[in-house]
Amino acid sequence: MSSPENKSLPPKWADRLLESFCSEEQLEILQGDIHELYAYRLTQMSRFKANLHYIKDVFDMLRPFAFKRKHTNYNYGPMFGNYFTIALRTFKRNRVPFLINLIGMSIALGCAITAFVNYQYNSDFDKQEKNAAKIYRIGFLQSTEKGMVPYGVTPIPVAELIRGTLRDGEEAIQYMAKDGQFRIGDEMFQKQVVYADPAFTRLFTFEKLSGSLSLDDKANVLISDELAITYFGTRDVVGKPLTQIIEGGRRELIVGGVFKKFPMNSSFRFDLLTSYDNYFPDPAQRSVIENNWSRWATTFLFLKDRTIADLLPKQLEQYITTQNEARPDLKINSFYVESFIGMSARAIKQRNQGHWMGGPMPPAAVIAPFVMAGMLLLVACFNFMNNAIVIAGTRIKEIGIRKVIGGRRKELIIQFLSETMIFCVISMIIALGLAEYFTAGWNSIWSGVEMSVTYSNNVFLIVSIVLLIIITGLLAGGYPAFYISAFKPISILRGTTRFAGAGMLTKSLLVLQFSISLAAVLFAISFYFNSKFQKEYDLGYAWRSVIQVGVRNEQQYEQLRNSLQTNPNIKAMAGTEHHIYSSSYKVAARFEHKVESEINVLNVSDEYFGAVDVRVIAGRNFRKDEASDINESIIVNEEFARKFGLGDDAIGKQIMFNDTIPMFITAVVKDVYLGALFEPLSPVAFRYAPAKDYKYLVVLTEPDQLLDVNDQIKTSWNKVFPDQLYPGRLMESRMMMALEHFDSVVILYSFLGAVTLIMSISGLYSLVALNLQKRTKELGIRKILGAPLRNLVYHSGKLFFVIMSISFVVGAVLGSVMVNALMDSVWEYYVAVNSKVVLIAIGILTLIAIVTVAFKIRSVVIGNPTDSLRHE
Amino acid sequence: MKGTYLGEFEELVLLTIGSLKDEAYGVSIKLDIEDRAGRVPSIGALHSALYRLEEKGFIKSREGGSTQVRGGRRKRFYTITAHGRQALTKSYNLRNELFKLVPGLKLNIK
Repeated sequence: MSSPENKSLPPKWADRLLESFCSEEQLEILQGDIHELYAYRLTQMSRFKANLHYIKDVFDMLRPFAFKRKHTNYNYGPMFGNYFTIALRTFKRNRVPFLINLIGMSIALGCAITAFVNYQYNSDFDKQEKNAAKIYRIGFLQSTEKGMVPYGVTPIPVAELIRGTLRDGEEAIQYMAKDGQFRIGDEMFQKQVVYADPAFTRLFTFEKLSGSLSLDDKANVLISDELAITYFGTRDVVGKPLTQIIEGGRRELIVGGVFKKFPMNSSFRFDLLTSYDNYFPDPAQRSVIENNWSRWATTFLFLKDRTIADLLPKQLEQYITTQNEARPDLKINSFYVESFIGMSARAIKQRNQGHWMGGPMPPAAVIAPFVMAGMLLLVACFNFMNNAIVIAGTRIKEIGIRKVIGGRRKELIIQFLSETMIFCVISMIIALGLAEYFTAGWNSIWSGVEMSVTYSNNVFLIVSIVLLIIITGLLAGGYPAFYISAFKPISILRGTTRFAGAGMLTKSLLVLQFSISLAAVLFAISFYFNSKFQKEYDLGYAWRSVIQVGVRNEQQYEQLRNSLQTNPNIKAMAGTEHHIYSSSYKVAARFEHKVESEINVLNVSDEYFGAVDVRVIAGRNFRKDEASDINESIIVNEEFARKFGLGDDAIGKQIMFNDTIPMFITAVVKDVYLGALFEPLSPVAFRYAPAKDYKYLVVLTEPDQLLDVNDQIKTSWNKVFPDQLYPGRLMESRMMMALEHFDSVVILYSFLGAVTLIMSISGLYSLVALNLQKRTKELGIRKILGAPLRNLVYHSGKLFFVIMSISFVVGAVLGSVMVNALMDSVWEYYVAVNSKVVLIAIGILTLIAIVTVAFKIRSVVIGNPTDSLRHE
Repeated sequence: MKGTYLGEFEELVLLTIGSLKDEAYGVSIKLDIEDRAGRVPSIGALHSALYRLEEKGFIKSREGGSTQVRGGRRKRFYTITAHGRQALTKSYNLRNELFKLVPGLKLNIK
């Protein structure tokens, strides 16, 4: 390759570098000198060293005297001013497509900003904690059929056992979050209260607003500023009384201090904090509970380094047997210690069963907005490219003349790019406003999420916004700028430039736009069908007409029940220990040789099935207080019978619970979905619960009277138990929360579909218009020669049909795959995308597209051919 | 304005140009300084100084003498102008005067 004389030449790239910055008048002399030096050095040292010296010499020339001087003095201010004016005029002349594009781009950018805000909210989770690197949490793993399930809690005795092994300055902190009932003045409310060891406020990062945040005095309660404002009306509340209603009485507490409420994106969301000692209502019982392996608490560790964190799981192994004897229903496999950093995010991701704190959004909810914003941005950019290329047809003379009078290509590119940038900046300004709405809308979809767009001190967001403008600008304007500036001035001015506005690229971009639109519409429609399907799905119980009221004991149950006896709107009532979707427990069951290790069991009364409308399909209901039913009868759901292969004659079969208790099936009920549609249908067994175990009063009414009846029960409750907060809940309210998310998703995707659709249609319209404009003469001649209407429509609409058909295939495939993947990751039971959904989506798109384009085609087809053929 | 001010390195370069007579161009000046003064001026710094000297009117240049190792590129030869000589003399005199004023310093002319 290299000739011998090449061998004595210095590295080429260094020469090129020198040429790039060195002025012409200096270049020859300077380059000559360093070449000569190079040749001289080659006689003195190795080639490698000479090369290094040469490179050093080149960089040494980076001095003002050697630099290129600008030959022309641009008048930058007016130049860009004129670009701006030209841009505005172009926008004005093509008002409709640009306006549509502007709206689309703004919405896309607004979504992108929201996606960034959403990302930041979740990545900043627990950022307020300054000691995060030193804090750990102990948890344990339960081995189940589906693998290891983490629990972020520890048996209560563990904390005390660990304390001995800790070094100076290290702490084990117990933390217990429970719902509590409180009274301030005349106002009663229910709120989460946290019981924690004194080290909690010392070692975790709190912002003290007033008083002292010490947890040493068990007569004190610490409250958040938010709670203080809500219930006291002032932040100055230190020393004020607050009553907690506990089992068997009241506990008078005094506000010891006020802390600033933790931000919503933190693990801690409590408003009330008090001493861990207060967790034990009866101090005499404390030692019993502290040695009870079946009760759990969160245990944080504050450690100097990882040493103990690494040793602990091994040390704790010796207690696994003790623990498993105390809780045979939940066998521990091993203990683990995890860092506070990323703790809540892991808990959400791994579905930690004992995470008694808040958590960030699941990863899918962080990625989804980016996908949506990305899709919108792509469509908006494609649309802009199409518009710009089509519109360039009207600016071709401007470009030709600019070139003839000495405009260089670079300048034209800069001009067109700056036009795009202006467009992007305008879109961004609108987008900043839209982002506020989008973020508010996003907040409303999620419960317990409160994010806002803040610019102050937020380098990340500002950098993202600037990058977003630059990237969109280059993406949208890059190709048009190069394309437009490449025209040859001579052929432009001679009129021979064949303006290929509808080239392959424009067509492919349009196909992509339409595919994305179709996918979005597909999303909207299938989510709509799905939410309908799931709302109407027979879960096996009347979840839309049941009210559940928690009761403390049999006496309270009786009192409440008696007070409701006369209510005509109540169709049925029942007491029960467990309640569907609220509580249950698990046992291992065996039939002959077949073992199912996880059977959900609910202890219920004989009236329960009537009160939640669970239909008995075979056998008999429990008989009230009959000894054999209490001891050995179970009622199972169909899935139970299926799992054990019992077939139709399940009645009377013997099932062993935990290998020790023989049970006999007395009835089979319709399938009951304990975890609604989020979890697969599981085998369920019901046992008889005597009245002394009742935890709930369950009330059945009609769906349309649900709220009225709930109010009536509340009134009765307040009359009978004036001291206690009404604990009634609608059974549907917890499930509905999930269902409402579906509705929001439908709205979200309908919106996405509409925006992309409008942009695609506007792109299609201008493309078809351009295509027809170029072919008016052809169509005119066809018409004169007697082409029938059908033929004319075919020829003028061919392009349109081809584009639509390809888009439909691509979009339908793309959309179905994505929708199915998404739904499958969320639900166990859903309607997958089927031909009906696809057809509806295609129908909607075709209809809108045809209506838009037909108008244009019609004017050409029925137009007078002489108009198009007349010259001058 | 810097005007007639002559920096230390510039003076060295100016004197070297004078001493090299008609053969003063970038590389020869650099190598001569390396030989005599025992310091290695970077080629960039040297050209920068030459550029300044020419701007101040102490030297003038002509182009010519391309060679093979230079890839056929011309050299730029420098010669001192009358103005340059004047500046050198002025600087020499100033130094001489000051030198005499320092007690205990003796001229040791070889």
